[in-house]
Amino acid sequence: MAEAKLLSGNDACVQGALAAGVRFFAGYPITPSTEIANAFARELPGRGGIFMQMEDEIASMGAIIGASCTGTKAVTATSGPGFSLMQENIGYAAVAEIPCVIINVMRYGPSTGLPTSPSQGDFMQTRWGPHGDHPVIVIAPYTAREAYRETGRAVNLSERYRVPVIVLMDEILGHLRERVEFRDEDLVQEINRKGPDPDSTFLPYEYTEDGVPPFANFGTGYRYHITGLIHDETGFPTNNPVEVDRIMRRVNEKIELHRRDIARTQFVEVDDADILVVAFGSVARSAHEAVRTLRQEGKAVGMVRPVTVWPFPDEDIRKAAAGKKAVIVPEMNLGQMVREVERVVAGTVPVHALNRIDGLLITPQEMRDLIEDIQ
Amino acid sequence: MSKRWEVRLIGTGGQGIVTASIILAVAALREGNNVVQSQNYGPEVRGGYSTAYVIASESSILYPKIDRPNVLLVMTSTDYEKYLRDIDDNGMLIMNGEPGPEKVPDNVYFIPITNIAHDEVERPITANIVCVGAVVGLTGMVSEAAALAAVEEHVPAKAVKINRRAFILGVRAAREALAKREASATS
Amino acid sequence: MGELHEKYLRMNKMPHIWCAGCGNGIIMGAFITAIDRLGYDKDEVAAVSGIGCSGRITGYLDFNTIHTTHGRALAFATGIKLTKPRLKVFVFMGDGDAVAIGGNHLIHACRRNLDMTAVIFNNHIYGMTGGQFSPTTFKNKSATTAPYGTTDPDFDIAQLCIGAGATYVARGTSYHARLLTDLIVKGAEHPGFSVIEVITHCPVNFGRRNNFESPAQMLLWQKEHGVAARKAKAMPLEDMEGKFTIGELYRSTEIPEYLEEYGRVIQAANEEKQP
Repeated sequence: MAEAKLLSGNDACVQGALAAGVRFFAGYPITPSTEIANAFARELPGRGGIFMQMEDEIASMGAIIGASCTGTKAVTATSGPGFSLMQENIGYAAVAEIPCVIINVMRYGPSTGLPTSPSQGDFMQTRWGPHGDHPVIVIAPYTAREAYRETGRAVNLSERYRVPVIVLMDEILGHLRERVEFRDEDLVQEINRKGPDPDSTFLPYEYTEDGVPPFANFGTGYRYHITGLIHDETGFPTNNPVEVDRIMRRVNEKIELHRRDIARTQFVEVDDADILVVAFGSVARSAHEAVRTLRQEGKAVGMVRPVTVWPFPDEDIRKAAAGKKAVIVPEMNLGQMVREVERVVAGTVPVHALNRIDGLLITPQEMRDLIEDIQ
Repeated sequence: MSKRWEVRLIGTGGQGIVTASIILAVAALREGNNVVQSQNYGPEVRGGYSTAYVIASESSILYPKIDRPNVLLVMTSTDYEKYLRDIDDNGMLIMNGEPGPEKVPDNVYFIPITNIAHDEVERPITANIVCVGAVVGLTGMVSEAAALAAVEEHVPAKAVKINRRAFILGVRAAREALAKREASATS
Repeated sequence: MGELHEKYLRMNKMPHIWCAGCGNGIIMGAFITAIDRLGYDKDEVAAVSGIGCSGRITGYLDFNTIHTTHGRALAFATGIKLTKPRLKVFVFMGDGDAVAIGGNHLIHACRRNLDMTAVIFNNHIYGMTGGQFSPTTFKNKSATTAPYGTTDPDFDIAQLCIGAGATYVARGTSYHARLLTDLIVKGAEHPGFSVIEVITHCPVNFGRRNNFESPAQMLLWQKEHGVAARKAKAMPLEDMEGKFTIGELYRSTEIPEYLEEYGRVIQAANEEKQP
């Protein structure tokens, strides 16, 4: 584990998923996520797993949900156009509470866009892609090492909370290779979904204290029904307003209930900073670099980086921003996360957006220029 | 490695530029450095424009891109003047080919990479390994031993010998170019 | 039959949502009869369905059941079968599910030959949404989206599946219920992807608009137009005009089953792992 190696972001995701026990992958090739499919095709058959190249992304998403029904940890990987196609079935996984992980390596969109250029244009889509209110967890690593660890964590969170988890990467992180030296804290634990209690009656969508019902894997003797129709605790369709309200609140609120376990936020030199940068993914690499060099010059600048981007870390941002002169939100889009930051700071601190949509990464210099302007 | 090396290799798709950059990155990594390797390509798998990047440094590397490299190697052109403005003020420019009769700036080197692969190694496909040898020979960014080990690791088992030769010839050409430059500086 | 109902249906979910006179109940009856004959353990059967009237069947069947998204039942089923091959997987789809929105999944499932059985309820109409024409509605029929008559040519589902590489293809009807049971049994026993197209009737949203006075008349239409495949072979082509063949239409055991084939991949991967 300790030996340093050169690992791409895409390959790191695969390693992390395998370490967390993933044994099924279904996908459809698409730049810039294809290397993930390639790696699973190589790695899974020799580990008792199955790699499946499906006819499209809709089928890929369906196949991983099916695989998860048997208790198999399942992943798919895609990019913008394919991610758009997956939305209906992601909504299905959310409401039927089927654990699964979707790796979205963002490319420039909309439509075919710039297939080989990075973007952060899917930030809102990862949260609101499927129709209807639904729970989802989105995790955005910024290094290959973190891509390994966070993909493993994504698998575990999906199992623990019976929710689709999206690993949000981008072309830069997916395709770069960098030195990775795993340490003890990177070790991915294998967490399995909670099963039925053999001593009591099985209710597939039981109201439990932790908001997460037990999952009976297909073929283990529990014959029950799974549906994308709104269902009651028995799993069968209902349109009783009381039942509908009750289950949909539970399904959505279970994420809030476990926010502390799900959240992960990095703070860099925040306490004594005058100016705070809020960034995620590859853009946070530039932001971190800008903070590092500005600090060397004695400037009071800090960064907050949501690693778990959804649920959005409201409290972390609010606390970090309190009393600052300004908050800067750089993004490779026309301003998506900035809306969340504005909502959270609610006018108490001026918020500046720094947006780039030419297919290139925002540079540390651009951030420095803006910071100096503000100062 | 006290310096932050920012190396950019320009070639056409299929020339093995990305592999060359990976080899440089692995060699630097084995010597204990932090590295980031990346590439841009056009959508064409073969024949398109291809650029590969290696950043190597003792300190951690966050920003993964290179704006103005301190080593730029161009496989596709001998028009060095066009590329001079792309490099860092103290940067080195390596062109694939023979220099013209005019005097070139001190930071520009010509190495006939394609010709070496074609005429001396007698395997045009090894041009990217000649290129690794040239970069290592000219810059010393990694040791020759580390680079050679990385070359051997990244080529097919049955082609190790020929690629070793390509690497050595690249290093030799680099040394000759350096010696020539030194001689003309002292004369 | 009552006994089979108790054994294989979720009786507490009755009455079902299907209209009086609908063919779906007949297909469900034929299916549970087939399961009983096959002797499968209920815990070892997975039933997967799409969206539409046919999709509701999984709510009534007492197996491992999953009611998926429109057109995608085969994709979900593929994930189930691949990761738990021991399960007997049955996929229920309507004509809209199978050859409109899910047509791509159907042809690829046929091509792969994973050991599952698809039962396609072909009632030639979108029933649940109120009678829009489907890819199997015949020409010059009336539908809510074809008030002046349909213009599109119709798909022959069985032929489509044969063309796409399915290794067992049969067609039954809701009239010939006993034959349907036989075909489902044979399809399930076939090692590979099997398709049972079932010509069925939607009296409410197809029949009423297209001059059928009763469900019984629609069943009679099936009786009169369904010709046993063996018999059809001997008939002059013009006598088959407007009719369709029923029974086993295609069977091949030459193409390997998908997971059997995947075993080679596993073997190769394991061999590579050896030093």
